[in-house]
Amino acid sequence: MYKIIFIFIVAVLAAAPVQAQSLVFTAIPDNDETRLIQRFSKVADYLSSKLGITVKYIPVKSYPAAVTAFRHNQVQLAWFGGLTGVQARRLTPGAIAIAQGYEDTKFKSYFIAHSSTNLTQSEHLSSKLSGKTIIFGSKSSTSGRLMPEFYIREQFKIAPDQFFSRIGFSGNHSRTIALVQSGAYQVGAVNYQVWEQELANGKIDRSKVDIIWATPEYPDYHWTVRGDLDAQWGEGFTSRLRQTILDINDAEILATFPRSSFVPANNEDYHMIETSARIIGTLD
Amino acid sequence: MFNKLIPQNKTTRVISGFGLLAFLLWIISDITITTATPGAEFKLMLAGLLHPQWPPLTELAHAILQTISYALLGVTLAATGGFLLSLIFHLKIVRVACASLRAVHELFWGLLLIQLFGLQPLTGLLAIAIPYTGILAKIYAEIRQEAHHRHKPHLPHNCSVFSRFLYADWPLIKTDFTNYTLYRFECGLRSGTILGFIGLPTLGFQLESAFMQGHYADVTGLLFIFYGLIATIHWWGQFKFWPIYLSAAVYYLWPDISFSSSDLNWLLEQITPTPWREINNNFGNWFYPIISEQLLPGLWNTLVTGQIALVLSAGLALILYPLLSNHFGNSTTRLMGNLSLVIMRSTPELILGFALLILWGPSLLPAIIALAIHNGAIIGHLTGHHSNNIPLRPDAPKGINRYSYEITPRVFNQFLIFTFYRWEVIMRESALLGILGLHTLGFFIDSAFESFRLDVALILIIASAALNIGVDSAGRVLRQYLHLPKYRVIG
Amino acid sequence: MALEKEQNNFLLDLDCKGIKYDGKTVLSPFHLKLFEGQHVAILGASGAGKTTLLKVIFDHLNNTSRDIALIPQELGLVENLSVYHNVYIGQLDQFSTVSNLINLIIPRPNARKTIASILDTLSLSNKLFASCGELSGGQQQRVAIARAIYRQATTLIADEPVASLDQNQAEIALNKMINNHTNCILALHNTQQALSYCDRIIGITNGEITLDAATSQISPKDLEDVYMTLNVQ
Repeated sequence: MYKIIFIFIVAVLAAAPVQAQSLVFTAIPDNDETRLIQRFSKVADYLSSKLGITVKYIPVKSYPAAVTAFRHNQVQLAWFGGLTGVQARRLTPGAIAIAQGYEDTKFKSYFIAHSSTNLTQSEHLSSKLSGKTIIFGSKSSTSGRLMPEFYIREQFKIAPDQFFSRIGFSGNHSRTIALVQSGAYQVGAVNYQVWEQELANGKIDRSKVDIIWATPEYPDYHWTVRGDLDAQWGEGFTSRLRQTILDINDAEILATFPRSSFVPANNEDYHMIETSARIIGTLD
Repeated sequence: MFNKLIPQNKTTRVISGFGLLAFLLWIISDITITTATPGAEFKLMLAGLLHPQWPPLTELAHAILQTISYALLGVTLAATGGFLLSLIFHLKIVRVACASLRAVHELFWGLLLIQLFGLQPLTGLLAIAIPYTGILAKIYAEIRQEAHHRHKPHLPHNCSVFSRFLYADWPLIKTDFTNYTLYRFECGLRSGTILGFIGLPTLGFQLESAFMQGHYADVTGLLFIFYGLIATIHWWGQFKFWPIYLSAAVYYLWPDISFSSSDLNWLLEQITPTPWREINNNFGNWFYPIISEQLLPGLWNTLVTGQIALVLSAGLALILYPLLSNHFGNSTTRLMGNLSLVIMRSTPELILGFALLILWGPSLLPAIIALAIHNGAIIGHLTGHHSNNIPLRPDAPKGINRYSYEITPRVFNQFLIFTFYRWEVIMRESALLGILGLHTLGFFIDSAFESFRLDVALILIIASAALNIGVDSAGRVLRQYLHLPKYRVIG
Repeated sequence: MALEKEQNNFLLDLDCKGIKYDGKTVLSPFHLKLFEGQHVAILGASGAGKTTLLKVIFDHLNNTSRDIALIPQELGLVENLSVYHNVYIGQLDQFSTVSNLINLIIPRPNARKTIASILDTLSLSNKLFASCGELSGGQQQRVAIARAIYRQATTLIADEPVASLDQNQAEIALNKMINNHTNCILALHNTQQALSYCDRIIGITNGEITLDAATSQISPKDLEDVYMTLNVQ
């Protein structure tokens, strides 16, 4: 027994984090939330080597947890979704968006439906959707909830819970696809990137589930930093960080997000997201 | 004419009342299997169950260390606070305060504390420590009270309170105190684990991610580790090791702990109802939709889930208890029975609920069944053990006759006490399971936190606490009505 | 021996090597023969070993798969069940499990009539559906007697079955028991009852059988000895 206790103590000593001034970032990718530490440590290493400071990655479970960590300065740099970025900047005065993925400048969501509904792809959301069951992604997902709900309201002038017979939140896009494919829900709203990727991976059977409508384009995922980075790391640090991110061209690192490249962004780019969130009542 | 329909016997009256209510609620509520083809997902789960897998060792080690450290520090804090409060537990205000602390589920405390501290150890260990303080204060006070009833030692009149405690109280209550605190430590491990579901880096974090991605092999591996921890706790968790563990846990968590008072100010501002913060806002316009669109539906669904789950738990317990009673079967069946009951009651309801939700879709059904399995196994376990104390006549019948005519009637009062004791717990957990997406109070609380409306979240949390306190007193009233003795927690 | 004059059918021929419990002798070795049709009283002070002797006899008879009605000292009633169901337990093995389960909710009319009449003779007719836990000690004892009678077994083994009854009730109950069972083995406290209702008396002192004779051959002095020895200690 004492031997085991000893091993335990040694494990704790070894596992205890080293206290040093470091930049901490977090990211929740669109897809595949497992082995996050393993995958994102490469990103941390890259940033460390370019910036000359210690950069650490911490995994965060959910969007609100990421926003909270950001507000508490436990995280100084974060890869947020459109809506969560807006929320984070509202709660953290001074925070700014610095870059977004190339794909995020014209992001979109797909509405997908199970084959039993006999719905096919069309120019507008079909009014036959009325009374069906629908599954969104996570409650604060931009592509899985906010924008789909915005367009439902715009088209039908009615709240989704009155239009559909049952509403669910899957928590993540792959699960949304799986739930519609299995027939658990008749309709789903999903991040187009994840759809394309799952399709390429052969996980989607298009005889069971297919796209019925694609939303217009909107801005989504982006990097946000706290406003006090220059004060802590020296004048010009924020722009250096931004440039480092924009310069990323390592395929392996880009695949982690997954994006083809990063392009500049600022807070104003997300104005329409903020407005949409106010309209559907997610923001006051 | 209707008088005839009301049973004469009080126990029968109460049971048929509960049964009838559950039946009616089942009929009028949203309880169905919504998935068209649950079989496919079930096959995937089964395949995962047969081929467990583990995440990389360093990630796993951290998750385990975090879980144990939260439980250890949380329970230690709660034991200290609970002990001090138990000394003044005769004050009504202390009793009310403790009841309120424990009426809020540790996960809701976690959601609230994340807002105050962010994702750091203080959040996790306080989320455990706060409700457990309320529980331990009550139990410690009861243990002391009972010891005084049993035994009134003769001591010199003028000896100090402290010496009186050391010489007259402590020797009497020592065993019960330590046993119960160790039991709470086991509960703390469970709580620490499920705190991962809201983002703290414990075992639950990994579990939820694996579940979300449908990596059932990882889920199984993590669950095995969890069962292993719980099953061997009597061996590695003994009190004599605690000083070492505690210092290790403090050393391990210390670097991540931080707090600034501005966060507290921020939180206090955020939980103040919006209309009171902004001048041009009508309180009624703000409050009314919260009541009608969130609070009432949430409360109703919580009640429906809780009441049906209570009746199903009770029924299941009556079926399960013979599995480990010495009066039935042989040593092999009892061993198997024990094993399956341990698994059923150790699996946190949140995890069971998650699995069933994936299989059946989001009606209230997954929550009800998850609660019934978990609590039915607990009540069955307690009842089965109680039945072992019953001596039988040498000519007592066997098999089902023995079950229905001899043992069940004899354990029935005790079984009812156990069931009423779980009533409040079931209600608290049926609110919690809303986090999974079923529309009990937890769903609306989680949504409020997701949109950072902490004032709304607080109102809903208070509503769920009020519900639990109400159920707790209803249980007390029923116990008195049926002349059942008080439940003694420590065996 | 006078006892063997009339009967030759053994109910029991038991050669016991003694019973020890925690290294202490509870019953010394003995050899006991019981015959069909006998009503045997076992007398002795509390703690003399009556209950142990009854248990040995019960186990032995039970192994010969004889049909026995038993009234243990602690009665073995089920407190949460009604008097009716407690008595019904006597015949649980006579019916299918399903009908036993149904009977828990809807009492079977026949059984109800029979049980009511047994309870009537024991002055318990108004308690048919009372819960057993609510009855007095004497009433509970009579319920246990009713259960034994309802069992309709040929052999009755009873440990102080009338200890809490007044004289009148005790006589009625003993009469009932004697008349309903061919073989009776009763542990008793009261020597007068033993002499009036039984045809053979076995006395135990300190775990040893010190007296075994037909009632007709026993003098009051013999009985006194059974108790005296214990009182001295």
